Amino acid sequence: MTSEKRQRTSAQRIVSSKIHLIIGEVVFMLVLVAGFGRFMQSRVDTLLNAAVEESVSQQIADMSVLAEEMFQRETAELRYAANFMANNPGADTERKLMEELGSTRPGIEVGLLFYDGSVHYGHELQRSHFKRLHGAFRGVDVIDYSPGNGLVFAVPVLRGDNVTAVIYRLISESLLPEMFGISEYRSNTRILISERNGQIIIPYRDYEEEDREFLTDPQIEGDFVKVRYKLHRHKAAAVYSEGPRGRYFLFGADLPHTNCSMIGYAPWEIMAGGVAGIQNLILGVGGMLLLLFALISLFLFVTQARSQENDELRRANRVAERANRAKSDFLANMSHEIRTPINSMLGMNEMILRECRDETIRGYAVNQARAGEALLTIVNDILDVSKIESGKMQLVAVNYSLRTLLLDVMDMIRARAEHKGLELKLNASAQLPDNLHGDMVRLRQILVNLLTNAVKYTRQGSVELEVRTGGVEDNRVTLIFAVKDTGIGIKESDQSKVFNDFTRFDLKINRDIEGSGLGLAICHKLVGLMQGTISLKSVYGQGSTFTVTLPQLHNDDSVVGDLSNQRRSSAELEEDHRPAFIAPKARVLVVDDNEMNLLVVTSLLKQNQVVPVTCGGGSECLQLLKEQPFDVVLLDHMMPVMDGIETLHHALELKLDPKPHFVALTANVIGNAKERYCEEGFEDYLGKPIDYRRLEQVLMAYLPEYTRLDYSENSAKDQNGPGEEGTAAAGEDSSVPVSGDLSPAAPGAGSAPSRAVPAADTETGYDPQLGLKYCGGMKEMYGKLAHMFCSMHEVKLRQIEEALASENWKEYTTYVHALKSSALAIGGCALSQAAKELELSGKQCYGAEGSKREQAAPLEFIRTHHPQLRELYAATVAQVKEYLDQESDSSAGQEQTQG
Amino acid sequence: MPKLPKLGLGTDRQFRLLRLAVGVLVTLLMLAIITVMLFRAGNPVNEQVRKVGFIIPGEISDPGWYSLQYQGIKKACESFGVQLLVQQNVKEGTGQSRKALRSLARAGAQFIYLGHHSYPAEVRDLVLQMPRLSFASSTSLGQTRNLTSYFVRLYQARYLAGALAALRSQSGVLGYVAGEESSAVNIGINAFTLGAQRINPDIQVKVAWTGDWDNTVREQELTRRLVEENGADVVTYNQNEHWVAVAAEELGVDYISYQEVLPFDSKHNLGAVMCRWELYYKDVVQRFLKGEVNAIKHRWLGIEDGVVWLEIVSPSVSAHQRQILGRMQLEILNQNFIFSGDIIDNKGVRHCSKNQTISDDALLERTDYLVAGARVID
Repeated sequence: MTSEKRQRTSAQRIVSSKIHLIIGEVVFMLVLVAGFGRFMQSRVDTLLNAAVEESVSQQIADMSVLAEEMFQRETAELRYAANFMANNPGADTERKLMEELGSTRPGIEVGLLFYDGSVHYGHELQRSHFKRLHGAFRGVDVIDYSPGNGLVFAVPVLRGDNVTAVIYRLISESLLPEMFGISEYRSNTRILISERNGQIIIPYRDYEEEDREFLTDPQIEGDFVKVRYKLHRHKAAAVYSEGPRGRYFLFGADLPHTNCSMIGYAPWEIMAGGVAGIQNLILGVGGMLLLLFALISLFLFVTQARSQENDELRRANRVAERANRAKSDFLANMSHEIRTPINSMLGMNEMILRECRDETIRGYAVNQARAGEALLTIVNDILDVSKIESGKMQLVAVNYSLRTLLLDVMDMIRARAEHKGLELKLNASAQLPDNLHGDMVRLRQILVNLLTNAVKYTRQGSVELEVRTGGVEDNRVTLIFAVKDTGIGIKESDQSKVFNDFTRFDLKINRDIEGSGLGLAICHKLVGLMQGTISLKSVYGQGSTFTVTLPQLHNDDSVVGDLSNQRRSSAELEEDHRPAFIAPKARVLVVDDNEMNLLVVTSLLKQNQVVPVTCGGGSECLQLLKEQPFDVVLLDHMMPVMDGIETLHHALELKLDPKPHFVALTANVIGNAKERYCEEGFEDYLGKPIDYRRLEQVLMAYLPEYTRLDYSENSAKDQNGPGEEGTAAAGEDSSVPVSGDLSPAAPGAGSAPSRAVPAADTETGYDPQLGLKYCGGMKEMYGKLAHMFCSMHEVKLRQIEEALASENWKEYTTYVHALKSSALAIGGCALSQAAKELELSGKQCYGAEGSKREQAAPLEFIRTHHPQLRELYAATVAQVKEYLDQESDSSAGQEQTQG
Repeated sequence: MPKLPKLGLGTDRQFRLLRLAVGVLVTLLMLAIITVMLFRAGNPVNEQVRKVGFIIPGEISDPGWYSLQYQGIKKACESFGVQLLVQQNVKEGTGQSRKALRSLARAGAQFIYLGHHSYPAEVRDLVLQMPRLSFASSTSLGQTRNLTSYFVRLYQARYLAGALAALRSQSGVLGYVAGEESSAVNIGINAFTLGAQRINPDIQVKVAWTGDWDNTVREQELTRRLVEENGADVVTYNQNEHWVAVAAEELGVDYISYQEVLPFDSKHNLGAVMCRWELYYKDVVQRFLKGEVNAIKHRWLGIEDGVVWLEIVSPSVSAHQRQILGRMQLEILNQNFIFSGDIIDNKGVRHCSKNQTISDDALLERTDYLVAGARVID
């Protein structure tokens, strides 16, 4: 819920931030487009206008040549006259020429000017008005304008090197437009002649007041100053002018031989008409490009935002995943931690059941046992789920009999079904293959789970297990198990969730049904692991059918035969308590510094006809490994000199072929013991005291197949084997073996000798029953073990004492540790407990090596409690001896009786 | 629960950042390209820096004439934003000028100023082969369609200098040391003589040719001769450097320097014939820029343009004398052409009559005489 909410708010945040980003992006783009567009427009304007200015100034330069030629025509006429006069001196010539040149028109004046200022045939010229006129006396043609006086053309009359006179023609201002005015060369283009300072000399012909106003406009005047400025270094110049009067090009060119310029103006459209189209084109294309650019970047931006969003989701997912893993880890750890005390409780409860004669209390205890077992089932389920989820679940394939399995499962469920008054049916073809290879334990778990579920949710009617083959291919066979019930069924809407964790439906109806809701989930996952499928068909209110399809390997052509409604034979029932296999050829090495443990293993394996090689230390083990091959090596962890892990490391370095399977033996069963040992290189571990069934399982798993033989094949010989020693514990419905569950000493179920077994001694806590249990109920073996325990007493005690005396805490700890397990194996609870405490202190001692202060407390403990251990050891040995004596007496007595 | 693939988070983020970075880079690159294109396009061809070439026989760092010329054209070019390419130490009469001209043309000079009066003759054919290039020189020789002569009317200042010398002279004899004979030099001597004669019609100007523009020893020696043997008590000169003035200072006679106001704190340091070369070159360069540099045959700048003047230095020149000189300068500005009216050379040949003026062409190209009153010493 909270995570959902969190996801939702995070999604909202992403969406809103995305919207903000997009709006920001759009605004940014608009600003960019607008700003850049504006910039581009002005730039293009400037460029185009500059180009037009350039071409206009070229045009005006050409025009100025024309204007100059117009003036030169005037000068040429005078020059001709001057030459004529120079070549034909004489007053007559002068007069004639002057008359020729003179015009009848008023306003045009011709004369002959001398250096001293005198004038012939004309009016005297004010030299101060015509500043350039003196140039003529230096032999140069002159065109000079004087405001108010007019335009003068003057050429020198050269006689030899010397200027004798100057011919001039003065044209009054009023005539200038008419004579030199330049008609517009394109419509609306005005060209006029001005002085270089800007004073207009010759306006165009239809010069009007309006034009004067235009030219005196401050904006226009200012821009003409720019033209003038350009003319400083250019022959001709044009300037784009934009103002209240509109858009114009102003231009000008200097006329080189005069003090005049030609200036003019034209509307922008006239000059740049064609260019305007180009400008529009450029702006259009540029605008489109910018728009495209904006769209692309917007697209990029959106993708960016989207990928950011994906990131957020992925992050959320990762967090969830991490949380889930943490949950799994937590569950795995907790289940483990919870299981241990539950086991103790169940054990204690078993004691109550065994020893208490008060019916009321026994009733409580029975209830407690039931509740405890239910709890244990749930915890086991959780453990399974977390194992599967964390990928630690491993399948162990073994050879098994389908027939046995099915009967077994039916037996497990039958009691419960009968209790509810349900009919339990097994519908299996007799042609089903029998001898299969696969993970039988998990298959059984799946079937039991489904059947248990079916029984749970069915109030009346029947539960049916149907088994058939779905196809055979070489040695592969597909088995189809269908579990049908006539129960409440599952609603269609819920069917898809049925395999989810912790799923339970119709809680109101089903609240009285216990369970974790994990059963189907585990089945689903296990089936998945085993590469099978599971499916569900259900009609609400009518019943459900779960169908499991599993591929298995089959070894031979044997078939299960008729199973219909068959209970297992008593022989088959006994099988439970018989060895699962025999393996006379198996090569097993057991390494333990504790001879008792070696004895235990050797004795336990006797049933399986396995004769293990034993040795008492790491170095011997390595030696043996070098000498002969082994299939399985059971290696004790805590050993003096070279401990199990060290030994394993050395052994692995030997690179043995075939490589034996190393299994750790340890009394330190804590937390994730298996993981820890696996990390070191072990393949599995066995807790001490050794559980016979566990030992058998481990060997089953690791012994090569060819060494193993089915027990039944050889059962004839061993019909009277140790199995008889144990008692039946039929009807166990838990698929998971509970440690200490071998219950060899169920009260009243044993043979005569068990009655002779004394109750646990309160002082030493000596409990032969417990010891017997650890020996798989084998009295003979227990006898051997107990004998050994007694005979070793002195040696072991001396070792411990020596270590104590020499303050070799590591050695001390190892010896005490050994004592702890061997004492427990024969049932010496108090001694084992005392040894355990000392072991703990010893560990602290050598763990805190060097630090006297930290050593002080545990040291003190050892010094005060060691004597107790010594006494307890002696007392226990005494009691064991006493027990052994009794046993030998009673057995002797029995023999006598039998005899 | 399906396991999410672990990979991807880091790499995806990097990929995203990379893509963003690429996007930003492309954007910036596009903007930059467009901007650069717009700005690059904004420089029309005619706005390119134009280049002016300058060939000169001496070192531009040498004090005196060459340095003054170089400084003048340099300032002119700077004021118009034109690039100046210089070929210096191009000795006249060695053919180096042709090489220099070619290299300037190759370097992209569109206008070349030939800084020695003998260059035009040496490179005439090259100039004709490069009709698109403009040329200018300060000599009347070798003018072609694309080579125009540019002058300053230094003679106007010489005229005033002659008047000043005459005003100061006690002996009635003035000394004039000059390098080689040429129209330009003769014009200067003639103007000096004519100016002196305005004050004292009987004054004599003794002219001594050194035959060299730079000859420390000979310049001083001739100065000594002019003073000690010919009785000159005011001297002036037309040389690249100022050894005449140095000698005159030693001799304790008055002198009028040329081109520069000398730093001698002396009553004899009367004044200097000055020319503002910067204005001269500005005119030339501007005409080049306007495409008018070869539109005329020759161009003169004078006292009326502010290019030429007589700088009076010595405080010993009296206010009265200054007044006379001021009046004479005004005459020039009011179109006293100096070479007008009666002009007869020292061989008795008439060159100009009353109410006539000698044309600029004749003055520039054919002043191969010294006016009466000026005489070359033996």
